[in-house]
Amino acid sequence: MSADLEKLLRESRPAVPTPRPEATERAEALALAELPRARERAWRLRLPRVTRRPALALAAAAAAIAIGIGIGLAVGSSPSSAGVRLEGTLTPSLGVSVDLPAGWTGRIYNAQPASAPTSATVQLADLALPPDDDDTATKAAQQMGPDDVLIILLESTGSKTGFTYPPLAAPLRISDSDFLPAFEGVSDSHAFARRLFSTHGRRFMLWVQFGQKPAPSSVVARANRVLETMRFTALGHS
Amino acid sequence: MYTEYVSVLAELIEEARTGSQTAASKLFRVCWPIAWNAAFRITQQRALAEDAAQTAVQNVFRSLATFDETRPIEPWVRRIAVNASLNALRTESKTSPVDTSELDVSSPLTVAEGSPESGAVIAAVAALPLEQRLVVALHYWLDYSAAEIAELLELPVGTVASRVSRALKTLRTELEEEHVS
Repeated sequence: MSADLEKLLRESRPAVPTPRPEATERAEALALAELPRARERAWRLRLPRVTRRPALALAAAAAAIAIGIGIGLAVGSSPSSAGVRLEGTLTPSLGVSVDLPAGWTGRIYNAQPASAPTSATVQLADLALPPDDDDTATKAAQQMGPDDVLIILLESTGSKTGFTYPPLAAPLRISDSDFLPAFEGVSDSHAFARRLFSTHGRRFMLWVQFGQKPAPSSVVARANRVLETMRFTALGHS
Repeated sequence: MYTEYVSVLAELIEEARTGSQTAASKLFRVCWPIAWNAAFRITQQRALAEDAAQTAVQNVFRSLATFDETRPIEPWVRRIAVNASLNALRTESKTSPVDTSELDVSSPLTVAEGSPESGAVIAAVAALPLEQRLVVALHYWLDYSAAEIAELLELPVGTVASRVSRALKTLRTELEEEHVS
């Protein structure tokens, strides 16, 4: 009889009514109101704030640009561990390098704490990157002029399955198909391209923001000339 | 197919983490029915279920940063909803002792699924003391094991088993009187 009663109980699940539309609307509003906090927390967990990097980064970048050479900025295994140093065009500790033309500034740093796997973050722009910005270079984006380009490269180190990161088969560049009609946090007046790729066993998300929409082909070409100089090596083998 | 589903959800979660309202809205439409179903099955009261489910989805979105999106989302959301529902019931019972007349058991909202006797079963469950009603709802309607319920309610497994046993005994008596069981 006990088994019968248990069977009867299982078969007697109360039917669940449809929630009232106003309750659903309120729930959605409450949930979406959490987004900024979730976003901030996600970044904090994954990518420590850029503000920890010493202002020396920009000084070094400016110095490199001033003498007209390609630069690469490197930090140690954590943003605060070793400071920034100039190492020609290579950043072996993070396995990412890039040549910057005159007028560009950039920084490459490990966005993870020392205890976590290295996660390279790259910020490049043809304007002066503010020294006190966050990992998505929010301040820099706000200071962009119509012809400016802002490039952000984020390395994904989690065991993610959601995104597909196709292998990078040729030098990195963006094409028309990489442009998104809109992206959260990007000004409506800015064009935005995103590309995911994997290389040397690493996965990256590339964001390229342009100061006007649509981005003029000449400015896209300028961004691509920088992107094509990006080189990657496997971490631990650089 | 299921892998694809998890994969799509994982993408939505990651997009939502970057602040995408579109992805967040889609994600909400996945999470809300899970939270609502769990909340209603536990509380059996529309107003309480709405509050609990709203709190649950709020907590889900607040915790997006720490969710491992390679895992199925449903158990995670449901667990958050169960906890929110339990808290709602606890708060409710502190402010006003649970009165079964407040439950929606006789309303069209709780038309039972399953056999013709189900209505009587639901009514009998609703008449149980809160602590027993909870374990019955969690075990028989939300398919949690005794160990999982023990963790949710922060009780020894033996206590959960004993509550289920007492609930079954009461239900058997009640339903026999009504010639259901």
